[in-house]
Amino acid sequence: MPIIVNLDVMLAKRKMRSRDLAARIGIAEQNLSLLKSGKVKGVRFDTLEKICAELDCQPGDLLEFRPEEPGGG
Amino acid sequence: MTQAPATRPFARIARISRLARALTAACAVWIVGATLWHWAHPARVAENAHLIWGADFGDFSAAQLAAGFASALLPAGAGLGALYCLWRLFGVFLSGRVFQVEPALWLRRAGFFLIAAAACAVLDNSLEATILSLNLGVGHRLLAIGFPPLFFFGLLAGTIAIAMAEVFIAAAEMAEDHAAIV
Repeated sequence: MPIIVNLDVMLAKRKMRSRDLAARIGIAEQNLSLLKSGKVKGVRFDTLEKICAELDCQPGDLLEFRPEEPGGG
Repeated sequence: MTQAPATRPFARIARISRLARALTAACAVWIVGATLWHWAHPARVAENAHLIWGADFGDFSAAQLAAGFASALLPAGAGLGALYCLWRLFGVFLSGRVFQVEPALWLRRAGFFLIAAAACAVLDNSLEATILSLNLGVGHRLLAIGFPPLFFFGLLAGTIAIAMAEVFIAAAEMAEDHAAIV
């Protein structure tokens, strides 16, 4: 999928654990883990807003568009 | 103590599912019991046949009664099939799996069985008329094509069940998509 989730990078920059972020924004740790690994179909604006507020970042710091190379897996 | 809003609808679904399962089991017992009770008494078969086809059938042979009973098993079997599917459907609901494809598939199967039961009822009607009039002389035997009172109801109920199942399948897919959004 060409949308890359850089949540783990931001968590590392802020020296915050997934568990703490999940607790602060009020979502299940399992869901946050799925989001980190990019195994979700979408992110609610509400969730994105809370993550950005907690990590003091912009949506663009968390999400990145990387086009797939033609013929590439 | 009030239940949490998220669990309240499921508690209601569970209550209705238990009731529906009890009714399904009662209906299955009734179908089997009524079929056996009817065909175990030749006088009752003759009386019923006279009411439906308006002919005096006289005494039936054992072979006629056996063949008539076998014919009656067609709609009864399809009806039992539909009830089994409904039993499974409400069993899935009872286990808390509501917005999923599995219960929708059981509903769709129930719909097909209901339509089959309606079609078998028409076939049974014709077969019974022929079988039970075999002991009558040539020229008095019956070849009947009739639509039993519950034929159209069965057809309608089956079609509605299949349509609702398709809606449930679409809803299950939407619920799956929704669950994949965090």
